[in-house]
Amino acid sequence: MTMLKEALSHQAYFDSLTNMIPSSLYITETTAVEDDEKGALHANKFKKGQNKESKERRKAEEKLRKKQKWEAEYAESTVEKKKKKWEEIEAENDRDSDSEGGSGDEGEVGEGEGQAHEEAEAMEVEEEGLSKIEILRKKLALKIEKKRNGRPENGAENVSKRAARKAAKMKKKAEGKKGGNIGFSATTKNGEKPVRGRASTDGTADSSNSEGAKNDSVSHDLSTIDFGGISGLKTVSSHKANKSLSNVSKSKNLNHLLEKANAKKQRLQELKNGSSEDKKKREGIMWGDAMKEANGVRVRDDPAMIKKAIKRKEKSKAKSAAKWADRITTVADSMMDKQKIRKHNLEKRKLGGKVAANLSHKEIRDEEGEEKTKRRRLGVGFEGKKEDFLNGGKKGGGGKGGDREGKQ
Amino acid sequence: MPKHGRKRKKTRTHVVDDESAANALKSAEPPPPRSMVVRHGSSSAEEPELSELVGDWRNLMSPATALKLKERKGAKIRDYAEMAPVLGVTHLLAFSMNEGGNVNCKIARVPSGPTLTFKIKRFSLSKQVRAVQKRPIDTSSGIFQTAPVVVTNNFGGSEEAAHIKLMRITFQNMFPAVDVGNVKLSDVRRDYIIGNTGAFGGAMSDSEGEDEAANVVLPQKFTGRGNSKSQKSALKLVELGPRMRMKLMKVERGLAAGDIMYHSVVKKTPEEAKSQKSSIVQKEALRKQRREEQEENVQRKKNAKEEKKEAKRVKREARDVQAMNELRGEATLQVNDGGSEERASDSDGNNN
Repeated sequence: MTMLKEALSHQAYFDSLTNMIPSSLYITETTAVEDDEKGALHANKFKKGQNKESKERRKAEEKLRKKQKWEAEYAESTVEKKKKKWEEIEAENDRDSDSEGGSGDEGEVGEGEGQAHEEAEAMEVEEEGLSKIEILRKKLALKIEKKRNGRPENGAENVSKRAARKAAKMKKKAEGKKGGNIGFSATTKNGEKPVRGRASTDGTADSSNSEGAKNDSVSHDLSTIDFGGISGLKTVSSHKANKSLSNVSKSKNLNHLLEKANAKKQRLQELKNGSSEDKKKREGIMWGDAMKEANGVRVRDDPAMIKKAIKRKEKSKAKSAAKWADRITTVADSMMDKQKIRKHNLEKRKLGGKVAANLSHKEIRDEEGEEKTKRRRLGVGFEGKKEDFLNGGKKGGGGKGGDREGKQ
Repeated sequence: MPKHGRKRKKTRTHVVDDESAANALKSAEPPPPRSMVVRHGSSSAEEPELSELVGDWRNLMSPATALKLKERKGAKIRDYAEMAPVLGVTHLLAFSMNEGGNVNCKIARVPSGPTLTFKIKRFSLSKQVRAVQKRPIDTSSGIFQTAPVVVTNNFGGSEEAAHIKLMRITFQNMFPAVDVGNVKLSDVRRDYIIGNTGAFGGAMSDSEGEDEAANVVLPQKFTGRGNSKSQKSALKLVELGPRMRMKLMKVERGLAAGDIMYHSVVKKTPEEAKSQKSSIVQKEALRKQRREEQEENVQRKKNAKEEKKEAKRVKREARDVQAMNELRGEATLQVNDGGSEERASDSDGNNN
C-alpha cells in the first residue's frame, strides 16, 4: 500500500510538472484525422468563398477553437490532452485493422480476407517493440507502395494537358522536318531567308479509290521534283536592322577572319597529308565550301584576299586621317585669318578716317595696296593717271603730253 | 544644326536597305541573282547558231540579265569576272566553241566560283522549237518580263553525289526566289525545267494539257480570257526553247581557276595531282621572275636613255658657252685694236 501511495504521489508530481509544459510543445503525435484537418485547412485556404455553408461551418469551428483555447471550462491540462491523444490513436489503429479486414467485393471475399490477414500478420509482427507513430508511418509507406505497384506503366491518365500539347507540337515539328513541304534555304531576298520547296505528294484533286493507282504513280513522279528558292515563309532579321551593331569594328573582324583562315588552311594541309579518312574529310570540307558559295554565302577563307582587304582598310583609314588633319589645319588657318582681320579692323577703327569707314570683315583693306591693284587692273599702255587732255586744255594747246608716269 | 533655342532632333533613325548593286554585294545577305551571258573565243560570223543560242539564253535568264550585251573581240572570262561584281552580277555563263566543233558552257558563280563546265551534246534553238509547234506562244506578250520558276527533276536529295548536288544548287540559285506571300499568279508565266537524265538517257517531251490532273482552280486572276479568280482552268505547258542536252565535264573551285574538284573523264592520283600542282606553281614563279627581270631591264634602259640625254644637253650647253666666249673674245680684241690705234696717234703727237 505504501508503495502504491508513493508511486501515485510520484506520478502526481510528474503530472504537475508535465502540466507546466505547454501541450503544443509536449504532444508531438498526430492522428490521421488531424493530418486530414491540416490538409483540409491548407486546401480551404484556396477554397474561400466557394461554399457558403463551409464558410459558416468554418466560422463555427473557429469560434469553438477559440473557446477551447481561452475559456477555463474548456481548458485541459497537458496530461489530459496526452491521454486523449493516445486514446484517439489507439482507436484509429483499431479502426484501420478492422477496415482492412472487411474490404473487397463478394466475389473476392476470399482473397481480400486472405490479403488482410497477411497484412494484419505483418503489422502484428511489426507492432512489437515500436511506438504507435512509427507503426502508423509504416502502414502509410505500405499503402503508398501498394498504389505505386498498381499504377499503369504509361501513366497516360496522369499526363498533364500541357505536356500532351507540347508532345503533339514536337511531333508535328519532327514530321514537318522529315519530308513535308519545307526544305533547306537556298537564296534570300529583302532580308528574308527563303526555304526550298518540295513537291507535296497529295497535289491531285481527286483521291478516290478508283484512281488510287494513278495517284501513286503521280506521287512517285512528283517525289523526284524539286523547286527553286521560295521566300516569304520565314523572316530572319538582318543585323543591319539593329543600329547598335553598326559600330562593330571591321578591322577586328578582318584580323579574326585572317586567323581563322590561316588555321583552316593549316588544318586542310594536315588532312591532305593524313590518312584516306582525313582526305575524305578534306574533300567534304571543300565541297561544303563550294555548296555555300553556290548558295550565295561568301566563304572568306583565302588568307591572301583577307590580307588585301586589311591593307585596303588601312589605306582608307590613312587617307581619311590625312583628310581630317587637313581639315583641322584649314579650320585653324581660317580662324587665324579671321582674327587677324579683326585685329586690324579694331586698330584702324581707333584711328578713324577714311580707312576706318571702309573696313571689311572679310579682308584687310590697305590704301596702298588698293592703288597698286588699281594700277594693275588698268594694264599695259595705261601706266599713270591722266593729268590733262592731250590737246591742251589748261596748259595750252599743241604738243604731246609729257611723260605720263604715275605719281610716285 | 537646330534653330537657336531649339533642341536637336534626330530624323534618319531607320536603317533603310540599300538596294544598289555594289552595296548589295557588300551586305551580309546573298544578293538577288543577276547573270551575264557571253560568248568568247571565235567571232560570231563563223558560228551564227552559237550566237543565237546565246541570245536564247539571255531571253531565258531575263529580266535579270543584259539582253543587248556586246562582247569585245579579244575579251576573256577573266575580264568579265573583273567587271561583274561592279555591276552586281552573280552568275557568269560563257559559251564557246572549240576547234573540234564542240560547244562548251561554263556556269560560274561570281566572284570566287565555283565553276561548272558543261559540254553541250546537242541543242535546239527557240525558233526551231517553235517552228514545229501548232500554236506557239507569242513572245511579245511580256512573257520575258518576269523571272521563271525553277523546276529540277531527278537530282536526288542530300544523299546524292556532291557534284550533282552542286549542279542542282547552282541552277536553283541562278534565278530569284519566289516570294510566296506576295507573288502574283499573273507574274508566274515561265518554267525553267532541268532534269538529270543520268544513265537513263531519253529526251524531255512536250507536256499534254488534256489530262484531268492538269485542271486547277485559280487562287488569283491570271492572264488570258476566262482566267478569273476561283475559276477552274486547264494548266498547259508550251515549250519556248532553247532545248539542250549537256554533260558536266568538270567542277573548278575558283572562277575558271583553282583546284579541280571533279572531272568526268580525267582521273588523277594524288601524286599526279601534286606533281601537276607543283609544276603549275613553278611556272607561275618563273613567269613572275621573268616579269620582274623585264621590268628591271626596262627601267635600266630608261635610266640609261635619260642619262644620255642629260649628257648631251650638258655638252650642248658647254659648246654654246664656248662659242659665246669665242665670239666675245673676238669682239673685245676688235675693240681693243681700235682703241690702241687711237692711243697710238695720241702718243705720236697731234695727229687728230
